[in-house]
Amino acid sequence: MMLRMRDRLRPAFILFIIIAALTPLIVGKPFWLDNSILIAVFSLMALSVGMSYGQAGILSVATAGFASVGAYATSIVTAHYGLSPLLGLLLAIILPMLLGYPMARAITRLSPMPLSIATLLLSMVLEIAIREGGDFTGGYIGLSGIPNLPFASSLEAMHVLSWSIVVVVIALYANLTHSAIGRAVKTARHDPLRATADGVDVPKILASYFALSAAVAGVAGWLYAHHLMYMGPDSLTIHVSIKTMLMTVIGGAQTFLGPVLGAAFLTMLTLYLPASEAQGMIFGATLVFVLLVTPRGILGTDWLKLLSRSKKRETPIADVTRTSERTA
Amino acid sequence: MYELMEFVVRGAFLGVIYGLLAFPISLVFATTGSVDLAVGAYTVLAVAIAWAVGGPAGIVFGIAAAVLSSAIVGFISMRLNRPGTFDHITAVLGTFGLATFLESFILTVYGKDPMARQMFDTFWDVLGVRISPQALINIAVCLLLLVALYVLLYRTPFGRMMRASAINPLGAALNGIPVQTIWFCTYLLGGFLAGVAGILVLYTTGADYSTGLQLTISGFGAAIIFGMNSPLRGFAGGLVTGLVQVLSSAYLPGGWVTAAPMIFIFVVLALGPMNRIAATGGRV
Amino acid sequence: MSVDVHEVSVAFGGVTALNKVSLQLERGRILAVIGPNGSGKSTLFNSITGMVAAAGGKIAVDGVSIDNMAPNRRIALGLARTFQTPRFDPHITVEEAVLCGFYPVAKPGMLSSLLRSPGVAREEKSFSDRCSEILRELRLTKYRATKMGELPMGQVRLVEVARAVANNPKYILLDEPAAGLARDEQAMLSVEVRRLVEKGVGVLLVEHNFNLIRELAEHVIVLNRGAMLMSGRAEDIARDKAFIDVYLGSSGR
Repeated sequence: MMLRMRDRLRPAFILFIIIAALTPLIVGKPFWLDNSILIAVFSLMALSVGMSYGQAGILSVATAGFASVGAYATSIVTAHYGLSPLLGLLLAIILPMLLGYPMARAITRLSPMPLSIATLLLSMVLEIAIREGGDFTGGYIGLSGIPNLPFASSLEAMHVLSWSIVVVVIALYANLTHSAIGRAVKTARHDPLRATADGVDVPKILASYFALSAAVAGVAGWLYAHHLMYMGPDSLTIHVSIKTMLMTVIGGAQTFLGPVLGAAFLTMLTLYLPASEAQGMIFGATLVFVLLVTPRGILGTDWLKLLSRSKKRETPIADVTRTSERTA
Repeated sequence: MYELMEFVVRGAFLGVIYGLLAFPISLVFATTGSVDLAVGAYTVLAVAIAWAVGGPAGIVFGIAAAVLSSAIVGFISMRLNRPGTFDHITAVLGTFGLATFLESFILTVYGKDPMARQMFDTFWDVLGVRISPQALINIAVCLLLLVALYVLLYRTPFGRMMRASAINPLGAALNGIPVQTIWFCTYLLGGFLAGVAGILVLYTTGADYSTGLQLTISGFGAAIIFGMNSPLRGFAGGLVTGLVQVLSSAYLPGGWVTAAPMIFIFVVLALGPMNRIAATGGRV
Repeated sequence: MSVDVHEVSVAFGGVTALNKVSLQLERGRILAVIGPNGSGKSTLFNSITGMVAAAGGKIAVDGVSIDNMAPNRRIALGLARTFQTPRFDPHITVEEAVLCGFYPVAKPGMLSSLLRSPGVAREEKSFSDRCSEILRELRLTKYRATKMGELPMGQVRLVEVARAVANNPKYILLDEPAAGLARDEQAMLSVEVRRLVEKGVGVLLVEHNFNLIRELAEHVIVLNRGAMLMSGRAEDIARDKAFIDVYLGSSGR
């Protein structure tokens, strides 16, 4: 009873239908098109978190950092050197991987905890590097004059392009999850020793997922740069990473559409939020709240089970024995 | 020569604070298996409150605020770290969320300006090196706390229970040790130490709303350099971290000052003992 | 063709868990390891699979020394093991758990998996078929879509075995597979072990259930306090006085 292609690709298909249905409604409305593109960009970043945190258990604060690597790569290549944005796209995929994979390999053993700390270090160093980059990165001032994409010069076209990328990424992600590698990383996240006994090279598979998530974040940055046509050191900071993590956790870190839902929800919410200083409080508190109440997120929680269990209020005998088995 | 001496002293001056922060990080890790990333945030909260209130009352309120916030973080972490979802990462994420909350809180209430105070106007001249009496206070306080922690851990029943919970939580629980309570107290102890560190920071280098994360990282770096086993090692690690920071501020250009200690910690992470997660022995 | 363990010692801190233990596990044979709790049986398993570092001695699989090999590479050579306390994710289904066992023989890399190349599709199909076969052999077919967390303990242990045999290993290390199994489940396990042996798999079996051992094992090794007390055929051991004193106590019959 193997998962057939239509089951595997269903999330991508559902998203395709939703976007196809919404597109005619927002054509010609720049406000909604702009937000749609932003939601697509954040969906990619949230999917990046889904891959590294949801699947591999790596808590990475470097999502925005990798996105800014992709964004700056394409900005420099197109604005400074006048080369094709497709080269920028290639760099946006490859450079984050080249950064992420060796770093993860150097640091991860069986537990992803040290890597999580390292992502914090990486983000901070990246932010400093961007600020100190002088003319190359535009320093404090940033880079403006980034051209838009020649094959997607209108907002409508950008909207279609961004969401097409999201749909493709979800399809690929689904393929990977339903393969031997996908099962292996899920085991490694839950129990590295079990995974080792299954023959999995745990540090290598965690590093691979980390690199993959970095590449997806890079693509998000690529889109972001060509949409905003400006990049600065404050565009994609650690706070953006935290917001992205919140999006993923709210939506459901281990699902395919959860990150997209979270991205849409939070992006729209931010429009109605007060000054930026207090945003951290709201996001921090919301993150904690979600973790306490629905740690698996909106799309990841079995709501029927949750509601029925709160009605029954009895402890099955199985639960008692299970907690005692869960040693170390 | 004197310049180097001055750096060493200034490094120690700063480093003892990191040593103080190293302890809660290594203790929480050893006991609960997860990291309390909010430690730096407690410190900055203490700085802010002590700065705003001022004087001895400020010191008391600052430390109290740090302990209170660590109590909240501890309580939430306990709920996130329950068996059933034995997911350390979720608990870490929780502490991170709270750290973000605290940072934003301080930003909103106190703004972006740095907060610092000077207790002493004079400097002493010891062997050609300028030292503020504050340095002596830092070192004295830290040494005092180090001794107190040692006594607590190795000479009191409570310390024994703490160590037992760290080595084998299930075994400890089966032996009647209230493991959940111990874990909670570990967070509280961390809050207290971070609060004290905050007071010292206020009178040493000062801090602003964004320093929290840097402090957490420095404390973490101090904890892992020589291994997470004892407060003394964390203390030594702190001295090294402080020294690295002072040296980089002396010899590195502008923005890279903050980057160098981080790269150093990164290297320690890659080489360090934290990585050698020992495979299980005996019954699997 | 065998797994050769030569004078392997393992120490934890100051405690010697294993003291110069040697054994040879041949293909198509069953070797049982018995001993009181704490005698080093699980440590022996862990040292063979590499989850615990050996302080001394040599281990080779089919003539290839594996002393410095990482655990996952040893598994890839054709070793498989079960855990004394089954390790599993309660949220996944029985089918998924067994499919995890195929990882060592899964060839396509990340890119092929992302793109779902024909190779990947073919492999997934073959895994799925073999999974159905194993579930059928162990009478687990009706639990195929059940979550592991909802399964009775006996079935959980059988899934543990299924996961280990999934990729047709050359040698399999079973750590107390019959504990907690009902009579008919034990019988099924015996049949499965015999089937493995007929296929040419070398089985290293740790068990407390002496009747099961007498039924299955040709050769038995007795461990006590980390050292090998004696070895021989099951009937001979059962009659040996030293063994009865150490292991069965005065009520041993």
